[in-house]
Amino acid sequence: MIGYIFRRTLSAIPVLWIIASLTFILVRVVPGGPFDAEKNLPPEVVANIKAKYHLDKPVGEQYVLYMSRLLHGDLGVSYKYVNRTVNDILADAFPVSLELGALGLLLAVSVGVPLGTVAAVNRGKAEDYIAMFFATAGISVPGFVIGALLIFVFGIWLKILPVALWEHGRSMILPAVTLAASPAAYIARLTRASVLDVMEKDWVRTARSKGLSGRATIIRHVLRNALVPVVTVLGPLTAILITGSFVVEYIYAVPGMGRFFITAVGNRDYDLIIGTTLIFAVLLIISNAAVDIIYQFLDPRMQLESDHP
Amino acid sequence: MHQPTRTRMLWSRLRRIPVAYASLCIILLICGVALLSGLQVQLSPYMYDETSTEILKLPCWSHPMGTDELGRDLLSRVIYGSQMSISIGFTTAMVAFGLGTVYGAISGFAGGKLDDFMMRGVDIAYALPDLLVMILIGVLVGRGTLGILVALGLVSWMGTARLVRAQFLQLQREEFVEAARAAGQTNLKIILKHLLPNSLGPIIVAITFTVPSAILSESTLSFIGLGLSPPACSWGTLASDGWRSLRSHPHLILFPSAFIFITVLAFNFLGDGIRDIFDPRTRIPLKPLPDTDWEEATALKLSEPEHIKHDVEASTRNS
Repeated sequence: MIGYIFRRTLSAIPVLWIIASLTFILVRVVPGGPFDAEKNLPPEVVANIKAKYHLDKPVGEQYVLYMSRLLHGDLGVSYKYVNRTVNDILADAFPVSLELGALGLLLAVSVGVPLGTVAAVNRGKAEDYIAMFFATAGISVPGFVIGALLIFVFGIWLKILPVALWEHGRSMILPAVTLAASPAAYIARLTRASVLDVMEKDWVRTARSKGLSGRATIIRHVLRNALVPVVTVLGPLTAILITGSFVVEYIYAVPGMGRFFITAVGNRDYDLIIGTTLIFAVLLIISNAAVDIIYQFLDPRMQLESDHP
Repeated sequence: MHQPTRTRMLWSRLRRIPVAYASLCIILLICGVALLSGLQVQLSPYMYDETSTEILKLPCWSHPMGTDELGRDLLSRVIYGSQMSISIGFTTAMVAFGLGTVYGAISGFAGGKLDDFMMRGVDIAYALPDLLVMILIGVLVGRGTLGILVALGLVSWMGTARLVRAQFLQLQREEFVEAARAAGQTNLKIILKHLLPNSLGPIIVAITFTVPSAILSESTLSFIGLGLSPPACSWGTLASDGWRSLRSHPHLILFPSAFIFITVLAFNFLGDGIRDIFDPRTRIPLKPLPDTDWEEATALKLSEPEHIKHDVEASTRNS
């Protein structure tokens, strides 16, 4: 197990290096530099600024400089937020995004799994159709629409929840709910399909015929097996949550990494762009590895399966 | 009365799923409106970029959806936006179909180490957050329609690739492929004449689900300002414009959002329905529809789902 974790970590390093290099090349290839908007500066001043950030050197040299700093854990300096290093900015923004994402994930799972289970157990009846209608609607609505709706209803019309604030307490409710809506619907659909699959299996009928009551059967046996695909999807779900956080942080003015990423792209703030991309990549790698490790605990049979679902 | 062809069978099954059939009708309606606007047919009294002095009006008789801060009629803008949004959706689906099918076909047909390697690629691509990739690609390719299409296409092909690969892997073990090989058919011919036609079911399902995903992604990108930019008009840009006036004039964001929601919902329901009709295990009661004649109804009733599976397989064995 320790060896497995060690090997996974080791294989992640070249991946991160590739991502850093690709992003590096990408942002420098793009037309428009970080200081093009400063129209009122005389060219000598612009040249000075560029020299300070080593932007006048050939790209190869810049790359070497960047990589050597990266190896020391220095993610560079922001061009827009002068005198703040990327490390500082991300150190502030990362916990915010993490909190928002964790809340969203918790909400999504605690709403999605019961919803999908109820739908599967009552297949064909009213509960199934209603639950699945909401689930399909949930994945059909763009995040900003849910956000706009919630803001309008709870923030503007009823005025009971704050909207453009990020402090512990009530201001976290709306962003978390907005973030969780789509993943919850997705998880509900997945859980329903998975539970239905498991319920058709022979051993469920055996348990029932042995006299196990409906509820006990479902909760103990079926769910434990049906949750395996849901755990699988936690990897891509992290990606979905990251994507969702861009919109949510934009709408609710949450000072998280998503918002910094978007503004950095707009400002061509090179080091900040690469820095945030790297942190996202690390998050994804950790979550995918965590899923694999949880697998080993949940179902030893999984190791034998090399087929993709 | 002879046995209906497979296509007619599938179509009659689809017509018997009310939600899917209704969704198809809604989609055709919206596409029809988009097409008409593309052909420059005036669907409302105002052109979409016609400014006037009637700014920020709520829905009324002459402006069924109200106007924006420049006095432009929102109904016209939504109609013209539908043209952009839907065509982006369909084009992305076509690109994803092309890329995904080729990739999945090669991977599924080759099998073994190449398959493993290619699927690792798909896994990595799947693991990336699509908005992140789209923003970065958008930065590279520029912010026109082409940039959006490239970005969307590059994040949408994976689902189709997986499905096609699974189908090919499964079909390869069937006897008719062995027979074709024994008869001396080249690999390419086997793929084109045998494997692909029998994989159409999952491919169609995959494409039907790619369209709404593309529409959602494009509107989200345009909403945060990193997608299409004015004067291009799509539902996403309309929502972005309307966002600023959410407090005072919510109708500006409400109507484009409603259209996005309805269209995407319809595609999702249609996709679910199409997936169900291709799955022989789904029981669809073959009650006669109001407009079917009784002969056809009797013939359909005689072929219950269990029989359908065998007949379907038989009628798709091309050789």
